[in-house]
Amino acid sequence: MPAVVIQNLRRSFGAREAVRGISLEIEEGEIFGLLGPNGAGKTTTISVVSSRIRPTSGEVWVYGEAVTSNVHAARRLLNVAPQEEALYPSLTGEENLYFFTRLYGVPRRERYRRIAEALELVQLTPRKDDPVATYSGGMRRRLNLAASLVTGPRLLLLDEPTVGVDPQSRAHIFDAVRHLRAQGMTIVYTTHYLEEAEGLCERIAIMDEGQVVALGTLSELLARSHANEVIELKLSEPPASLEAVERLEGVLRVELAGTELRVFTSRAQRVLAALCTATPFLDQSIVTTKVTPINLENVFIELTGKAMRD
Amino acid sequence: MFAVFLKDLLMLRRDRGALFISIIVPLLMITTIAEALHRSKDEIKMRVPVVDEDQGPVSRTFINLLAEHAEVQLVTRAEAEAIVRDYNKAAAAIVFPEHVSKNYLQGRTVEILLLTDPARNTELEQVKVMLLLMDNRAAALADPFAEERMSLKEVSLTGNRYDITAFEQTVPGYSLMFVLLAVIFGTAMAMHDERGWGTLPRLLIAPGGFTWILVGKLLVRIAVGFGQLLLLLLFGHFAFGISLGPSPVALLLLALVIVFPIVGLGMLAAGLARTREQTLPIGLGFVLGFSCLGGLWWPPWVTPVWMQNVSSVVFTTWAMQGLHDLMLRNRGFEALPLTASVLLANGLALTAVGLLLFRVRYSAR
Repeated sequence: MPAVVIQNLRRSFGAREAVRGISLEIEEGEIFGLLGPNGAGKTTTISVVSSRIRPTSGEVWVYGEAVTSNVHAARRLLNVAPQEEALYPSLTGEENLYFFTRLYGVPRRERYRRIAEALELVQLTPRKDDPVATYSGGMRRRLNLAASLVTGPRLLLLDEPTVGVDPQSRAHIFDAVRHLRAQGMTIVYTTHYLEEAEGLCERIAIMDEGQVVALGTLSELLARSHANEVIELKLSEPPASLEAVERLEGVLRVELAGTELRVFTSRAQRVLAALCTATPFLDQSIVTTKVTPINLENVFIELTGKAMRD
Repeated sequence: MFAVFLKDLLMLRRDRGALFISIIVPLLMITTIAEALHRSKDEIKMRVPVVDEDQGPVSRTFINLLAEHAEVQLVTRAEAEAIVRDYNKAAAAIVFPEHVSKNYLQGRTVEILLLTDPARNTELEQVKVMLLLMDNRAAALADPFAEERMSLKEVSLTGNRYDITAFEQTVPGYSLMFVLLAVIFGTAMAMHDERGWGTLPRLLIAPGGFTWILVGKLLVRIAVGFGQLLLLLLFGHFAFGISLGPSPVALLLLALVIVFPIVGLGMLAAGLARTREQTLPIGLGFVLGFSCLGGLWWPPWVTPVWMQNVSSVVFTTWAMQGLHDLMLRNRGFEALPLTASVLLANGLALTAVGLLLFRVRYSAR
């Protein structure tokens, strides 16, 4: 059985349609990424799946339970680490987690074991008796994750869990997510950081303006782009025209930002050689050259016509 | 410093609701208080039921003189007792027994009965003063050099106590007002704090239902308010010697049902407020309004009739009634059923409306 089934989901806020008819399935035990810029509809989708808000139309099932009609049954199967920290600052880390175990009806004999495991996973055991108000931002994010885990969900929804987090805490969160995946938990991971989606998620849905514009594994998504490499050149001066570059054999697309030229191609070696000898480039010096594989942002730009951070 | 000043001013301007309520609530309160107290002394007439069993010239003279300063209501003895004892609509009723005129005109001292509710001590003293003045004026009408020939016999209809102290008059009202302050603000802000901490989304998706989660928060406020009210009354008892009545259990039960509608009012404030800042003027409006109308600051009889009518349906009036019944009128459980029922009904209604408003605003289900 799929962990999550979303069918023709729509959600409007007044005149604004935040989610415009998405349908997808998330398999049990996978890390599923929802990737897109701010305002793409990721958080709204998560909010509907978690039953925090109702859909305007469409249906969502979590492990077979409809979130609109069997809401309490669905809620027992999932938990959310919200984008904003959701903790009580005057309580200690352990007290916060204990409250959430009680709220979800975790049996008494299970509570402290789960709390200990969650704190260990996010590496906050030494600070468990300190008030949350004394934690750093990264520590609060990690505890935020732990608060979602102590209830023992089968489905975990992580809404941008690493925003504003220091690199060390970020690494802790990634390790925790991989560990949970290894234990068989289904995880929906929303982010606008490409490297997170590329590094963690088995399948990714790219969202933009309330719709899923692409869905698949990383290699499937990258294969949607005709190019497989990007040649990045830093020039001494901006070229007057790109026509000569665009006419080169093997060049699929060209982008220019100031003195930085990016050439998308499936034959990087040949195109690079041609670029170095092409006539227009005799007037400018090439300061640096880099060849990188195609990534999700390139795919996103090809699909939507804009950058992830526009 | 100036940058912070401008920034805070801008934020205040943006919260138009809080700004509006902060202006409107004080204006409403000033209007209410002024309306309550603006009447000149000529307009303030205390209601005094009078039983004229004498039907003679002396009683009629007294009644006519009394009518110049009080709202005299001629009734039967049974009606007078009901007005004072059962409906608590007057502090005292005057009974002119038979043969008052005959004895008075024959130069004998006459005894006039005063059927009293000692719990309303302030008004009672005014009635006694009026009677003595009437006696002097009546005597002067007949004989300018006549001595006083009227004695007062006081009969308490509402309990054995005649000696109500000033503390006993004021402590219940002020205790109730401070509990209103603490509980209404505490309840309203506790709801909005969940938004500020970011924990509201977690509570919204927890199994078991958001309404029950809010009820859990309200139960804490009921416990706190109950403890506060008891503490204040106990302090009044040990520090100022106020009576807690013959039945401590009845007082405990009354304290609990008094706090319930106060918590409901706090929930209503939470539901009406769009922001934490708005809970302040809304809560304050509730505290002042219910204190003013409930007789926590002044006896209701000094206010206009329309305000007295409004007071009769305000739960703080019933709370004061209940406290006076137990603490000043020496009543026990028998005084509770109606008062407790009214308070419980108010509590349920206010809580239900407040919960609904809060849910509609913050839960999009």
